[in-house]
Amino acid sequence: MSPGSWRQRRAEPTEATSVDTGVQRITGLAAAMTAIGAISEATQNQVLEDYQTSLAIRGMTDPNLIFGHLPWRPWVQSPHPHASGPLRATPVGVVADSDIDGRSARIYLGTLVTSATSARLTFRARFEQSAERSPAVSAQQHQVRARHHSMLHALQNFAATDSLGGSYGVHFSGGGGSEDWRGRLDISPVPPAAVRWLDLSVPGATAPMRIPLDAAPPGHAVSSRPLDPAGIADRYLDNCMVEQIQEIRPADYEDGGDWPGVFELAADLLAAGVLTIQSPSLARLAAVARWLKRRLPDPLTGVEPGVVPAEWLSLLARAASTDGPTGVIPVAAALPVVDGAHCVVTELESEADSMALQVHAQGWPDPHRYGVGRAELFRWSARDDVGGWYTSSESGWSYSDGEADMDLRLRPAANPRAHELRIILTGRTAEASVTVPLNWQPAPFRRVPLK
Amino acid sequence: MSTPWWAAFGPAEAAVSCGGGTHTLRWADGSLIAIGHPDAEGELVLAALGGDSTPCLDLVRAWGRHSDDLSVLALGPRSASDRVTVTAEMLDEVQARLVSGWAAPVPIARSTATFGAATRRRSGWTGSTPMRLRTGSARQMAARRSAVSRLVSMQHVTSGAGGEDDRADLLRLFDLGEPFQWRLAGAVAHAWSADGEHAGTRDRARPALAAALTGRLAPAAADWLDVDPAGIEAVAYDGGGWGELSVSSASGVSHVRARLPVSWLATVWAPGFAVVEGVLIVRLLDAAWPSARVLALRAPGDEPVELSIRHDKGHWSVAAS
Repeated sequence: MSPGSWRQRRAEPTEATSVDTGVQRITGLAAAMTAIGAISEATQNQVLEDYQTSLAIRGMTDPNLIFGHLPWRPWVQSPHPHASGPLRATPVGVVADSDIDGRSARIYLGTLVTSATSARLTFRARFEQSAERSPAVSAQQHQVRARHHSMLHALQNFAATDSLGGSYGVHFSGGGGSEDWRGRLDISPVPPAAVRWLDLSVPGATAPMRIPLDAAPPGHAVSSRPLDPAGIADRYLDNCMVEQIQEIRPADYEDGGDWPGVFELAADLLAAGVLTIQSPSLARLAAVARWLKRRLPDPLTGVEPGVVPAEWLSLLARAASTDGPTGVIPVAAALPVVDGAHCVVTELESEADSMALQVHAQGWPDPHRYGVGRAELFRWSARDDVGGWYTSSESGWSYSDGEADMDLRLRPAANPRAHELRIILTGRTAEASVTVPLNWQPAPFRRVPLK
Repeated sequence: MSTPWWAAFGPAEAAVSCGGGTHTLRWADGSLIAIGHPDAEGELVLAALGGDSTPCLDLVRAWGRHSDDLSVLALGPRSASDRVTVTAEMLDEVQARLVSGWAAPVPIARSTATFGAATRRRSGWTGSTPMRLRTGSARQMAARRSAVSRLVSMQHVTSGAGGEDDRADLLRLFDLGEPFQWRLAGAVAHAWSADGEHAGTRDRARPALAAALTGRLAPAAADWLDVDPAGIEAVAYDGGGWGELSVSSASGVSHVRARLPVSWLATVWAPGFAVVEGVLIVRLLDAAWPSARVLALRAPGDEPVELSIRHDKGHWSVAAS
């Protein structure tokens, strides 16, 4: 290389040197190093804030981002909340037709989750489609807002009595749109142990919905195991690869397209000393590069390719599948505590192209730091009994004081040949799982016509 | 007596709106002095008892709090061409944060209006022509500093504690101008040097110190050797002598690896003579500003040679022997 040629190369603006790209790269690396325990959360936030501030005082980014882009006061944020006690999951699976706020609706109560201090029911409602003519957009928005407010009010009109004659307050929290609403019903006080059932009175329903409190749990196989602390960085990189592999198409790289971000992250983790040239996850990454017929980017050229894991290939093989069965399973399984988080898998629903997983969690990390469903500290995935693997993405959530309700999307579509699905929560130090027989029940909102 | 870390620095001054007038903050011999406050210690005691503070004293206190703050090295300038500018928008953002209740009180860490080197402290010192500050009239700049000081003073009436106050302080100090940015960086580097107050605990700061050294050696050595600064790395050196520096090449890319004492930042880089007339200065031997005697590398692998350098008209150059 001739003297000074680096100046010319650096002077040529490329996407790779843009400020935004740099911020994304540093942010991703800091998040990764925090997730694997290489740096603390406080250090992560300090580094990112310093980086943003450094850019701002050099006129390289919006000065308003100097304090506004990152979690504020990260060093005094509330500590990781812990679960308040053991959770118990009771399958309910009750459907009723009703009339709420003047509209016909079908209500589904899925799972009752109880602890020493709380009792809550998973709740879904589907309203019949409105036959009104579409008004003008602004009027429509106004009507939607008004209807939303009215519906929230109407959904507070539940009440419950128990088998011993006691009465309970019922509070709905959740949200929805013109047709579908979902959330939870908090029941207070917590029913005493002697209570056998609750009757939930629903506006417009011909009879109360009976919630059995003494129903035996489904008995799904639940397990947990510690994870090798030395493998935490490899697991993190593998997870990143798995998240991206379904989007990778070899044809996109025939002409030398940009590397997926996971390769850049791998190079950074190698440079940071978190991974070594012999790390198994890098060998798997190199195997993917070989599959793409690409030479690894410069810092990774010394990595000896391994093999692409069969599970990753299964993701690729079924990435575009639309043959998933349709139905729902009231899982009602409480998982063992993983890294301070206690989770109940409430329901699993299958559609043609994916599955939806509902989870209630206590001791869950603050979403302002990590996001919720795809928190850096936890990952959800699933494996079936015919060699298929499923990865998760977040589709909805609510959070308060360490309690989270998560709607997760599992992809690809459930394999119709599978008989069991192991749903896995992976933390930093341990993983827990529940194995669910895939006995799909008719989805309450699909096969039964509304009245 | 060994050469103090600040021996190769000239004095610097900044105008600050304070008490309805314009006061001067002066840095000299490692210390920041509020010239318009001859009874500064008394004023600080009154402020601690609930009286009003002043912009000048706020800045002096902030200087003291940040004179060992590694964030100064993380955020501050890396080279003469690396300009750090605190804009009105940033200060507005600080104000918004403070007014919205995010602010915290600033404890009075030390009850003196002069912070810096313990030796040769002189209140109200006057002397040679100060270094030039940034463009803009002294009145305009003083008004801005007053505004920032007011913002930070507001922290006294709110509650809480945390890093946002530190960041506001730091922006306020950076706003004093480049000469103060470099001197503050020198003070911080000295605090973490082998003879600094944090020498015994600097193992925990090694990543930050390596980043500080790399970020400042890279632009200097890139000019010196005409190599890509991305290929330059430095770590803190604790042994005897000036340190080590080697150059290798792979696939046509040059890699420079250096081990330098943290004092290099305080005594060589911060006074502005990392590279003088094509040689890399690796150690300060002695100095009495505007003159200094240094060890210099003409090329990687060479034995360092002794040079006399002199500051004149804003630049360091090799003095005629």
